[in-house]
Amino acid sequence: MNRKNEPASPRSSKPALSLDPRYILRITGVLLVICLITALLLGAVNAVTKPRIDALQAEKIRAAMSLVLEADEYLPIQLQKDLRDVQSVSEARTGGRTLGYVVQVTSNGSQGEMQMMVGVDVDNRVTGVSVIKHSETPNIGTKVVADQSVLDRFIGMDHAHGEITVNSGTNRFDGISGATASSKGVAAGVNTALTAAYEAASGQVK
Amino acid sequence: MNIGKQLKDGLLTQNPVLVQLLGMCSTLAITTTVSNGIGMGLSVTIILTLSNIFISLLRRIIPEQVRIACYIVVIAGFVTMVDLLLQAFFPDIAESLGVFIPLIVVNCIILARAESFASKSKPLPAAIDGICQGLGYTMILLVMSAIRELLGAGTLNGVRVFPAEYAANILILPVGGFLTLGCLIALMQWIQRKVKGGK
Repeated sequence: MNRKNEPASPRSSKPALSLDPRYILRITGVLLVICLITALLLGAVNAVTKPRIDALQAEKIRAAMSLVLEADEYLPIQLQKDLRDVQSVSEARTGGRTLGYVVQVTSNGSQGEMQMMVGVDVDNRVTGVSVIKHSETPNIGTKVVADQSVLDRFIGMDHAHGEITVNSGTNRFDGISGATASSKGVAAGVNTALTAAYEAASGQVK
Repeated sequence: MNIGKQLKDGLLTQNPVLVQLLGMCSTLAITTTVSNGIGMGLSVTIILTLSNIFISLLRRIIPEQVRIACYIVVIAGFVTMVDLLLQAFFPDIAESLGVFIPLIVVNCIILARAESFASKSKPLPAAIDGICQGLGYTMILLVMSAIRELLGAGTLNGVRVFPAEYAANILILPVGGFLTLGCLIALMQWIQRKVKGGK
């Protein structure tokens, strides 16, 4: 690097490395103090914003639940088997009667992880799909994940003829052209949710 | 101190995006809708101004050998604060900007201004520099996102201008970002040459 306009070190291009312990302690100390102050400030901001962010998130999940399967209350249940990509399963009840299950799943779209909520009725059929969080390409992937009319095409699908596959197979979901990866991601999420709901239902046999 | 010159530098002659070619990644990635452009531009302006002020205040304390680490800590601190505040109070903007807010940490405009201006200036000029450079960045994001959203999706800030069937979807894709940015840089060069030639 050319440092012509620095008269302090005319001979070497870099100032000689000082190994004086006091000097090393000083620069370490300054860096440490700056980090500490930043961390303290961040802690303060986090304390103010965390309750709000959590409340917004809970509200969003609740809204997604009632969108995919309308019910009076949602009781979280624990699956006996640990299923991958299943975040939570809740039993949807109205007036003491089980209407079905809402399953929160993660799935991989074309641009990364997607968070979805899927409603499944007692006959193990999809009652609704909602994408809570995604990072799909605007105007391409969003033609699937942000278009409720496309997501609603999953309603009524089940696993009676095997897993849902995109653009092929006996249990076919027609994807959106140009957004095949996003379509497949959503379909995979629905498949996971159907399996989880089946597990939930069979685990609750009385 | 010369506010007029700093403003002119930020918006035109030393525009961070079109002349210094800084912050290309975020410029290309988020300018798909006008609301994203405004949100990102203002977030960067706020963070740039705050980090410029603090780095200017700390310029005699920060040892030269660890200055980059100190800048990054200060910038990352402000970015995280803005990210948390956006998530808590403007969830819609936070959602659409997504991963790009954390990525402001490595937006080279902020580090470049810290290194080349704030670390050598008093807090007030540093703050003005942050605002002016931030406005220059916001302006280009606004122009790019307006072009891309209008021609690529047929909407302007979400309002439909013409049917989607006639929109050139390519402009929304990454390649459209490169094309738009290239044209704007060329236009800027042409204007600057013309202004110089006229003198």
